[in-house]
Amino acid sequence: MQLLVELLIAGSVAGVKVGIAALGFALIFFVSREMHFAFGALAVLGAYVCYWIAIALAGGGLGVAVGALGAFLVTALISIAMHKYLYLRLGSVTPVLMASIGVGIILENALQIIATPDIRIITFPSLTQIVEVGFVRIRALDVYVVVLFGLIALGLDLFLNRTRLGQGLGATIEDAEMAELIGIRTERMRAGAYFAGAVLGSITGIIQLLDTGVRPANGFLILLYALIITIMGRGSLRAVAAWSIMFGIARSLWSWQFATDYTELAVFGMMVAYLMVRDYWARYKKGRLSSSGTERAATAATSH
Amino acid sequence: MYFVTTTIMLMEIYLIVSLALNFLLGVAGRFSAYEAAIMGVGAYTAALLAQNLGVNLVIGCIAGALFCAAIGVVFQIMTRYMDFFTFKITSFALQMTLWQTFMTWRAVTKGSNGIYGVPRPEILGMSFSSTLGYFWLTTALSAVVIAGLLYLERSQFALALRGLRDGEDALESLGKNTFALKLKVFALSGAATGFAGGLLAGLLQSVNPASFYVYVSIIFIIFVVAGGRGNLLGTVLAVVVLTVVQESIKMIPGLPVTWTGPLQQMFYGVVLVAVIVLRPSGILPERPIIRKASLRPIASVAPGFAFLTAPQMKRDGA
Repeated sequence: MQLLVELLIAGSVAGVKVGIAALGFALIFFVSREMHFAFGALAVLGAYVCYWIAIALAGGGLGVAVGALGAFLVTALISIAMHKYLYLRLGSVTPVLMASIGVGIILENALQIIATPDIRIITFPSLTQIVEVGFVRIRALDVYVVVLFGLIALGLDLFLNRTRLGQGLGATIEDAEMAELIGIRTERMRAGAYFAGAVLGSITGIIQLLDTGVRPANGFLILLYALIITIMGRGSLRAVAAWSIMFGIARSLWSWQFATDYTELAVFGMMVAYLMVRDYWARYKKGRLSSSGTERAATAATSH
Repeated sequence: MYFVTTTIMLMEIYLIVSLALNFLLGVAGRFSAYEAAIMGVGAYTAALLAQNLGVNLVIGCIAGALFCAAIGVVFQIMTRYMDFFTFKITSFALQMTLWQTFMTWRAVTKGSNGIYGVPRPEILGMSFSSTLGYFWLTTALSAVVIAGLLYLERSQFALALRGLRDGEDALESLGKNTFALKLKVFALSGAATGFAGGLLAGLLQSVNPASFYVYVSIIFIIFVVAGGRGNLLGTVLAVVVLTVVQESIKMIPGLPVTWTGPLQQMFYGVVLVAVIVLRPSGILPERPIIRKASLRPIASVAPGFAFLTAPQMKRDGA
């Protein structure tokens, strides 16, 4: 029982770490309908910017804090510039996807050349120390990450539902054209989403920097997990938050019962199976409704 | 010489995969990002059959092609009701699933070490085990597959696929079974890609998961997009030009070895962005399909508006 609880907590923590990036990617995707494939590379770039600034300021908590602000600024500026000068110019879905893949490749490899493929890490003993909550032992960093995720998820939810600006953003997610017609400046909403998304991506990168270390190739995995969870979330940020935790728990439970080598394989397999069953089920339900008694009666009545 | 023949063989193999992908992505409008993994399945199938059962590698390539065609069909059945975005992501996930399988199913694939010592074939007493011999075999087999794909590009089948891309509902209203069409194109593309994978196993005489990572799939997409979606000749041009430039990067004097890989990848990234921004339809855009009439007009028509006043000409020259 204790093992199960520990696995659930470890899974949730792992899911939450991916979840922050997923919320950022989902926000961008839901608001702009653009698949921003450079997201992972930008998250890693944010981590490197933070690292460089922190090292330049001789490390320490203040150095990382200033570095984080620098990372938010740099990644947000690049993201908004990409949206404004590249994606808007291209217009449709597939070219935007291709261009963002291209920019992602350029960024990742430029980082490989500038920063070498080696792992960069900043450690603080206060973050790696073990905290005991009841019978559960957990690292201080993980506790902070869970709290941060909770604050971000809750904050986003309250912002979208309780504030005027957030409702504008929500309206853009629902129907951008109609939102534009009633006077919402959807272009600003999109730029805002890119800003917030870049900040959330950088936070994920910086957590990796403080946790297991970061290297340029990490961007692809951040992107892939964020993508998967966003697609699972189907247009709802609440669902994205919930799926990210479930995603982590599923990985953790798998490694409890089966060989850990197969965890990634199992996760991708389960995801493909889930998406297939979900869409087949949706189709089945639609088919069942269209062949319901009411419709048959209506057809019979009109055919005479 | 060895470098040149090996590069040309690699080019031919990549060309088959890129043309197969252009059928999916360009002609049929089905965005898929798992070509590298499917090529891997073909390579492992051919290599395992050749190494463990002593099957001729060419037969192994055909078996790999059939297996990959089956995977393509199953994938299309699985993704039948998915929307555009979900389909894309599922294809990425399938790429990762297959790649993870190569890495973790050690009993069969030998994990990240891969399989070594794949025997090259012997046909009618002729051995193709030397590099030059295998070069001619690969060139001949690739020529057959590439010619077949180029022929299919101008066929009725490709016309129907273009209809599928531009207006699925309209095509359905004409009585075409669009789902069957999708199954066919996935089977065709899977088979060609799997066959190319088998040839790759013979070229390298080994199969390693590193050759089938998602990045390779993205390179294939870049070949198709840069060449021109829906135009197979454009893909031929893109594969040749981009591969030559990619290999030339290695020869830049004084370039640190650790920079070669990243610079090659950056080159592909720059090509992708440049093509999308400057020439979205690719180097050679899709050509309109003009079908020449097989019958000639029976009588020549008088110029201008004379036909309005002149008496009706009799047919059959009577």
